[in-house]
Amino acid sequence: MSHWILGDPTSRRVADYREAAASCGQSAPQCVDWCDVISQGSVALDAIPTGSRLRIDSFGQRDETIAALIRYGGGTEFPQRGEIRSLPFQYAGICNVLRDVTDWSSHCVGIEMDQSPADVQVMFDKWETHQRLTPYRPRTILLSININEFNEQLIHFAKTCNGRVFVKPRFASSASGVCCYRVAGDRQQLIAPIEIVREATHVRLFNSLRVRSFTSHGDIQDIFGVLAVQGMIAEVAVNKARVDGERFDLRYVVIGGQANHVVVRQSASPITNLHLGNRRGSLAAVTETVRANRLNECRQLAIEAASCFPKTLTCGVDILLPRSGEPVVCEVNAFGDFLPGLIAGGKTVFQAIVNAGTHARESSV
Amino acid sequence: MNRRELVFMDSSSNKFWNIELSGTSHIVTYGRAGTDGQTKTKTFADQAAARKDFDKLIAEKLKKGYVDAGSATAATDGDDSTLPALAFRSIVKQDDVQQNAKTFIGKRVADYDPEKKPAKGDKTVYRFRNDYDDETCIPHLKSFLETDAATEAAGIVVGNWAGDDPGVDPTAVIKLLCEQKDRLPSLRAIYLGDIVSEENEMSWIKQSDVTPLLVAFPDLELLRTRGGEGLKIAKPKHAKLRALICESGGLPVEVVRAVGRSNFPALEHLELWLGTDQYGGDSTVEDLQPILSGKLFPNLKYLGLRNCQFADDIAAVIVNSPLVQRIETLDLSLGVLTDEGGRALLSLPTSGNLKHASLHYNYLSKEVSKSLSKLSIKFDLSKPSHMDDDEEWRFVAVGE
Repeated sequence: MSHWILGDPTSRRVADYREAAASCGQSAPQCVDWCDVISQGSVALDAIPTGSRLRIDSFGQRDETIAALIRYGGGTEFPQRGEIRSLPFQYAGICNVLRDVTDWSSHCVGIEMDQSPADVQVMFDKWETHQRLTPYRPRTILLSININEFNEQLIHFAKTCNGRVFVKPRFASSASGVCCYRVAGDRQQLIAPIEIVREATHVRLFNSLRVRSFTSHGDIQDIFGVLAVQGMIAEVAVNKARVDGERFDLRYVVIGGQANHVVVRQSASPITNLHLGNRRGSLAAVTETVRANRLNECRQLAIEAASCFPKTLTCGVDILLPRSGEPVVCEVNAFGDFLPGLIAGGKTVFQAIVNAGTHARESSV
Repeated sequence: MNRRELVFMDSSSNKFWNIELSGTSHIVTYGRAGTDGQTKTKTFADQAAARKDFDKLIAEKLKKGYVDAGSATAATDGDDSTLPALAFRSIVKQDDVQQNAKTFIGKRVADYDPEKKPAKGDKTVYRFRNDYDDETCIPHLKSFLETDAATEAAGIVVGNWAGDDPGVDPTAVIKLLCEQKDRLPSLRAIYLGDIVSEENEMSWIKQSDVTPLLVAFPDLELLRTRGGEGLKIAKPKHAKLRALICESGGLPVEVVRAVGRSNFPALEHLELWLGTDQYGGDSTVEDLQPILSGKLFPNLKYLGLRNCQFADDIAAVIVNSPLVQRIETLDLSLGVLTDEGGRALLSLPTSGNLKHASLHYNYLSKEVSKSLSKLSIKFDLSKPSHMDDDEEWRFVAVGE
């Protein structure tokens, strides 16, 4: 069986995955570039022979891919490097590519897909994902794209949430545009990995590795002004448990119904994404701090959440463990499986994925 | 000298760094205090090259604030219950303002958990704090005060005392500590306000009068507070206090004046975060005159006038201050120090005790930084604004 990837052939993700496949005794998978599907449509996938296995991987971070996705989604405004802009068009572009994949696979015989394109599409929409996972999710609302309505809804919602909510773009990933928002009396505070750049006629927001705290009404309104039109959700802030005095949450990679790979994402700030200077924490320290059965609940929940996408072999599930009470699902990431060096059961994440697909196929024969 | 042993403490670490020169190699051993650390050996083409790198590495460490392990700053004067002056260090790096203290007086900080037996001995300092949906600060402190560990505690860290309401001041915590002072016979150091932005913005923290602590704990050596609003030192008098640290986004002028008329004869470390008028920091350089006159604190070794919007004004007057002749460390970090202030500091006296000056997080040009680094005083000039380019921090979201 030949093994293929739809991804960014220049990315480390794809290089690592190819290496993992080789280390499992398979020939290194070939990669179809998202950009080629965007420019050629499903024809670009015709190189993949009947009976192949296809893994849909991330489109990556190249400027030209982002621009092409936006264009494919009908957008005409393109972000500068790191800018938070045209997210709904980028999402529409992703959907169009996934539709091309679906069209192509429906004409092919015996293609084994690691993921259902429809599932991937849902995972890239936080509001859709929320609805699919409602019993396991913190209370969430969809905010209006009209800034006045947005403000009214947000204040009203925050008041029902102890004054603390997370405001997140509906169509973004990796902490892009995620704001921890707090109202207390007539004060408000917004903590976010965002940089504001004010130009003559408009405001630009950039993803910043620096997590900043904004307290002025002007700054906060400038941020919301740019974000609201791109589609946002607000969810009640879960008071995360601490280890060594710092907040943490857990990223599980669920592979074929197993959640053996887990990282502790530990942070002094409320936003724990690892690329923001945060650390992989120690699972041993977490196990010592919270009882083992609570950790087990988290793992079960991750498996449960992934099972809401039954046609998809693998996804990354972020679990929030509150200081008290039941764990909840923070996010499900279609491509949340890039955790280099993480070993469980003697296998890296990618090795486990390569094997899981193979086994699934063997057992079905 | 072929061997050097250095140590460093601040709010996030207590570590050592040893280097030994041996022929054409040097061996560096470093790590957390109390551990064996890691060892790295580096070999050079010849002895001269090894010596050169040895000297360079030591100079870099000293600039960062490391001190000799055997020096007076690191030592405890043979009396174990006395804190080394190095243990008074608060925030050294600007980024650490964003995170809760990991160490205090060189000891590990841990949130107190009443369900676990507190660690015996002297390695841990406990923190007591509320969460926004959980009021545990006072109940946990009460629980701790009943344990034997309390009687041995050299330090206490009080974190966020306000829960959901940022306007609550720490009067109740202060009252409890004072009422139970007999349970804390070993207490030498209090940090009242280990609070980070996520818990409560520094400029929102409501403080109160800390005089009762000075009265109740006559053996106190270090009092560190965070938060400007409401902070008072109504009776600034204490025979043994060696370090006073007031961190704030804006320090009320009344606090600065109280320090200026204080009676703290043992004070070695004075650190005031003066802040900006936007957050209630309404002092000016004139209000610092009584401090800078040098008459008040005969034992002062460290003066920190930090996070200050008028750092340039301070630089202009401090070079002529009698005090600066006597102190060992001058800290004008985290403030708005521009080339104007930097040029003024070129006249700092180099013949006195002054050995180290921290200008970390400054707005100096490369030229002025270079001129300063030529003085015999060791300047920490790290994190200048020209290296603070926001664009370098931008990231492209990973599609996941």
